[in-house]
Amino acid sequence: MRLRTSIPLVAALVTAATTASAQSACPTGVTYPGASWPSRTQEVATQRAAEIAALEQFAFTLTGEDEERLGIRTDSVVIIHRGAIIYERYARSWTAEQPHYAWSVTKSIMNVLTGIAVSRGYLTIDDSICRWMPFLPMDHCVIKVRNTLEFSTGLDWRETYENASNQESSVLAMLYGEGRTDAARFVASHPFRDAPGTTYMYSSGDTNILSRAVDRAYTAAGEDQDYPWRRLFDPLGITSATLERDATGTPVGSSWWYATPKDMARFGYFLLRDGCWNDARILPERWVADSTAVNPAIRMRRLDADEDDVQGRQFWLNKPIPEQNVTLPWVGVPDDAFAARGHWGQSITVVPSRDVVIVRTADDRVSGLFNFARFVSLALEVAR
Amino acid sequence: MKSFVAITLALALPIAGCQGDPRPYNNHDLALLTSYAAKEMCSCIFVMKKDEPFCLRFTRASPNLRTVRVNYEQRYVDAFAVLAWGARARYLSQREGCRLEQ
Repeated sequence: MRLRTSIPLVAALVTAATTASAQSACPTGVTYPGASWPSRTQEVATQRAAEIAALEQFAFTLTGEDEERLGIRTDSVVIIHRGAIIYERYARSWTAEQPHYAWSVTKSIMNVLTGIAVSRGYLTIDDSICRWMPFLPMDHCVIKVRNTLEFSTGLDWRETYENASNQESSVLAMLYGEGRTDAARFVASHPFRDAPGTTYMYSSGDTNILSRAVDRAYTAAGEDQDYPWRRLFDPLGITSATLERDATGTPVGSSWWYATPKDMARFGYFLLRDGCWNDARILPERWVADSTAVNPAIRMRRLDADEDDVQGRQFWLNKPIPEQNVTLPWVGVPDDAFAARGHWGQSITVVPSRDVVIVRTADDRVSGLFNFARFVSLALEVAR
Repeated sequence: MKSFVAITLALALPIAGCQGDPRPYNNHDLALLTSYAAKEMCSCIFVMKKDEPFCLRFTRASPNLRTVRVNYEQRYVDAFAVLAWGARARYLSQREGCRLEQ
C-alpha cells in the first residue's frame, strides 16, 4: 500500500521537476503583453524625435500617385522594445485594426506550427513526406520534412512572381492556376532538379509540401482544423489571424496569413522569447536556435538566390556563408537578427541582442528599391 | 454566338501568346488574371476590410482586362476577363478567409 502510494507521488515529483526544468529554460525577468501591448510611445516620441524623423523620412515618404506604385510604400511600422510598443505608425489608409497580408512571412508561421507538432510528438523532421502524402510516387519518398523546412527538396521549381513570365512561374501556377485546388500535390508533381538535401533554392512550393505534412500530422493526432489557433494564435493573444486554405483544406503556408501589425509583433516577440509565452514553453528547446542557424543545404550550394538570401528554416538570417563567399547580408545590423519576410516588403524582424521586434507591412511594387538593412538600422536607432 | 466566340478568341489569343516563352504550365494568362483578381479582391475586402476603390487599385494586374463584381451580402467576388474567362472567390470565415471556387 505504501509502495502504491509512493509511486504516484514519485511520478508527480518527477513530472513537477520536469515541468519546472522546461519552464526554467524560458527567458527569465521578462514580461509578456496581455490583451494589449504596454505602450511607451509618448515617452520615446520625445526622447527619440530625431531618430523617429529619420526613420519616417526613409520609410514613409511616398513617390508619385498611388496608382503609379512607385517608390517605398510603407503601410505600417511597429517597434517593440523590452516588451512594450515604443513606436507605431500606419499609412496609406491602413489602420491598427485592419489585418494586413503577410505573403511569405507565412512561411515562418509554418515553421512554428511544425515545431509545435514536433513538441507534441505528431511528426519528426526526419519523416519522409510520404508518411503524410501517401499518394506520392516512391521516388519522392526520399524527401524529408527537414528538406521542406530548408528549401532543399531538390524539386525543379521556379520562384518567380508577377514581374516574370506568367507561364513560367511555378508560384502563380500554384496559387492561381492549375495548382490552386491542391497546392502540395501540384508541387510534388515537379521532377527532381537535384537530390534532396544537396542544394538550396527558395521555394514556396517546398513550404506548401511542409504545410500539407504538418496539417495531416495535426489531424492524424485528432486535432480539428482550428489547431493553428489552439496551439499558436490563441496562446499568444493573436485575435486577428486569418490563414487561408486550398480546396483540400490545407493551409497555403507559403503565402496567405493575415494579421494586424501588432499581432504580427506578438509572433515576433514569441520568437524573441525563444518560443515561450507567459513563461510557458510552446516550442521545443533549441527549435528557434536551430531554425535561425544557416541551413546545411545553403552551405553546400545556393541556387537562384538574391545576395541577401541567407536562410535557416523558413527564416531570413544576418549570417555569413563562408563556403559561398557570402558576407553579412544586412550591413549595420547585429548578426543575431533574423526575420520573417514576405513579398512587397513585409517583415517581422527579431533582434535578440537588442530586445527588439520590428514589424513592417508594405506594398513595395518596385523590387530592389527598399533597403531592408537600412530600415532595420534606423528602427534600431529608435529603440536605443 | 459563333461570332462572339471568334471575337473573344481573337482578343484572348494574342494576350496569351505575348510572352513568347516556353509554357511548362497549363495556365492561360486570363485564367491567372481572373483567379488572382477574384481571390485577392475577396481577401482585400472581407479579410483586410479595405474599401472597394482601394482593393481595385491593389489587385490591378497587367493586362488590366478584368471586371470585378463584389457581392457583399453573400460574400463572394467574381472576376471576368474578355467575357469568356471568369473566377469566383468566396469568403468563408475570419479564420479561413477566402477561397477560390473550382
